[in-house]
Amino acid sequence: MKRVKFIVLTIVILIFSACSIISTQRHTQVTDLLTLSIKSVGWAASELELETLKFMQALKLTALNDMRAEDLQLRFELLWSRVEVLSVGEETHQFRSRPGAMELLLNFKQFLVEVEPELLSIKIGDESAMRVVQDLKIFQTQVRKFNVNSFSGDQALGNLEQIQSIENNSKFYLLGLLLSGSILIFLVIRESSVNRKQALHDSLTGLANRYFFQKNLKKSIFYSRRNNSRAAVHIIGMNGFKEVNDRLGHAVGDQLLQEVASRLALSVCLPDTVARLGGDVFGIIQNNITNADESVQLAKHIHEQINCEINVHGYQIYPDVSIGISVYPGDAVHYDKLLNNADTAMYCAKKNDDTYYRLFEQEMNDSVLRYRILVESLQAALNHDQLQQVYQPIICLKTKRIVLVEALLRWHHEKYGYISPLEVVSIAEKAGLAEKLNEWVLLKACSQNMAWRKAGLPLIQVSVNISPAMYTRYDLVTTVSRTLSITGLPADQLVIEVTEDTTMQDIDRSPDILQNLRRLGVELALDDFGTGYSSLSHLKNMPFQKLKIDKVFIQELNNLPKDISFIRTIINLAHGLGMQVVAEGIEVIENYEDLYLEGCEYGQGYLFYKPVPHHEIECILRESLSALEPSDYNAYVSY
Amino acid sequence: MYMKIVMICLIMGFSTMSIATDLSKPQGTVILTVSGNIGNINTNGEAQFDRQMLEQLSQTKITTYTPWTEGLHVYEGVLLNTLLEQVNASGHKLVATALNDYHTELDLELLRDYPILLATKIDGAFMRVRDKGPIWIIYPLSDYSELNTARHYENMIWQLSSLEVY
Repeated sequence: MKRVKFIVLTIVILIFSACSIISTQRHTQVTDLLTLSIKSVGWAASELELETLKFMQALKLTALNDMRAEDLQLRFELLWSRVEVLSVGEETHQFRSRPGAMELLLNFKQFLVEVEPELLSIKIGDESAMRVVQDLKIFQTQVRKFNVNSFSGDQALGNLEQIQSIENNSKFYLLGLLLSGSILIFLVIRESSVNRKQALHDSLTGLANRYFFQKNLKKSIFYSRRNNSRAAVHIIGMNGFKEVNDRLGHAVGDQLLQEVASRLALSVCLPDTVARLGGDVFGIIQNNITNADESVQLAKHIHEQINCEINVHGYQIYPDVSIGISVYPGDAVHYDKLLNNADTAMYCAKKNDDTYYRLFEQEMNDSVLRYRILVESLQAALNHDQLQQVYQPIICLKTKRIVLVEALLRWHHEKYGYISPLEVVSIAEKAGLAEKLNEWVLLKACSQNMAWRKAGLPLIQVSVNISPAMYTRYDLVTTVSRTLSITGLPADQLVIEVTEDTTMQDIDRSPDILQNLRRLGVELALDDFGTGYSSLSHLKNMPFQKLKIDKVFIQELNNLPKDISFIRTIINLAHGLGMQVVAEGIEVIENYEDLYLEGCEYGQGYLFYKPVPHHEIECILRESLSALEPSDYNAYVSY
Repeated sequence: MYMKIVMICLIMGFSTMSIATDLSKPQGTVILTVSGNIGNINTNGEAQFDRQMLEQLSQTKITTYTPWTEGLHVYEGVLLNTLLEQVNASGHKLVATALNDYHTELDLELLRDYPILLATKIDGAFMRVRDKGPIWIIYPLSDYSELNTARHYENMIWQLSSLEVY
């Protein structure tokens, strides 16, 4: 293709040059012809002089008795005709435009008209012919003078000089045309090469772009197949790049990408291709390798090069990358498949904390396939209301009555069976289904609670778990507000459980969310307390009404020697900050007794109830209506 | 265009008819002498024509512009091809000479398909020598733009007196 374009371009340039040269030649020819035409006018004028002389000669010969009257008449006619030729028509226009020409012609014609009757009467040997000669002498002199001036006068020379000057100018302009045309073509070539470069390269880092990378990968596969060699595709994903962008700004992020790009470019050998495939993902094609170890060596080298301090806008950044490697032809023979495999390997390396690189293995694809199927199924399940919600009661330790149920997500997949709520949330967040999922959870919980209330059952609160993305990427406050208004559930009957770990980090960036939720009247509970990263300042500043102690701490109470001091401290701390305490994971009666004695208000766990469907909650609540004073909490336990 | 073709065909038809006739001797003043490779002669190895003899050949009218006249004029006379057939000419070139000895060479191969006229009349009147007569070779410049070039102007010789075929 490139060769064809080059040939076409060469032909165009040749045609352009040839045309310019030919134009110059043609122009010269035209000028020559013009000069010739002017000369022909001069020739016509000289013919007038000649005919005049010939006529005079004929008159003299007639007078000398040496010419017949008919011949004299012929010469007269010829002279007349010559005067006519110069007087009329386009060809002799130039002649007439000369100063004095028209006057000369008119006078000459007048003379001929006047002399004609006399001439007709002249006989051979007639002396009167000589008198006509004398009269003619005046015109002959004038014609002579006119002709001399025409050839050598200033105007004649001026005309020729002007023609010459025009000719020279034209040559100059044609040369200009040739030069400018050549420059134009040069610019077009250069522009097209710049465009070509831009089309194939990433503008931020100057590396090859995805398109160019794929093109080169196809070439590498072709050469590897021909030479019976191997080639590796490395997909390099940066870890934590989003945080850099979010916290330090895009300018820092961009410069970090540029620095990483230049380090990558320095890490490889010349025939290898380095590209930015998009966002924070780079790719390398490693040609001519003999075994997979060589690509592992390169991955290690890349990691060494990149995983060291970078100073960007005064910030010390330690970039970290995960590398996925797929080798041709072992892992795949098609470029698309190779890329996908390396991508899969890179995501596996990302998930795995122990290593920063992974060579592709077929099993990896299974997890990718599982993910894809689950995404599709989750979407369908949300659209067709196929997810389930179960409810685990939380009881007041003092009254042993149910005060609250925690709504929990259940999803049974026809192929993969039970999918944990954590995985469902993770899939939803990755696949962009988080908002839809959380809306469903909220709507389901609130409307279920309303159904119980309408059925005349004891009033209880319902609590829901909201996925972390909702706090940062979506408008949670509006979603909650809308759900409450749709279902009619009083705001204080809804408790939102904020998970301590990841969610708290997200909330740090937008602390107003919790305050705004609070303003709606919704209660907030800090979930899984003690396992995450929340600092004491969170407890102080965030408007929580309930604190849920993680089951890990409750179960530790079963160890010997029993140490209750930690639990006691947490309970005191919560109470000190105006929060009520919920203990999670109560499984034995001793835990209940201990916690009750320490002043813990609420408890949740298999000792009381496991998560059950809504109709079972209905039964439990009905039973509690009939047994106003339950003496034995074991009655509610339903293992 | 069709008119032209029809006209040329008619002319050719008349010309063919006139081939058979032998050349008579000129009675009046000879105004045209044809010499060279010709088969039909009347005087001293030449074919001489007076005005009457030329008028007896089929006449054609051509309306055209020329660089030596103002506006369009109607020229009338015998076609060159007709005349050449009349004298049974065989050759490719023609040297035309004027009364003042100006001469020019015509390429017959080139002119074969054009109605080139040996005009003796302009706008119905005979041309005197002072009017570029008695014979003016007229090219149909207005009808055939390809003939309207300086190269052909040279061959439109006036005051024609002789033709030599070779």
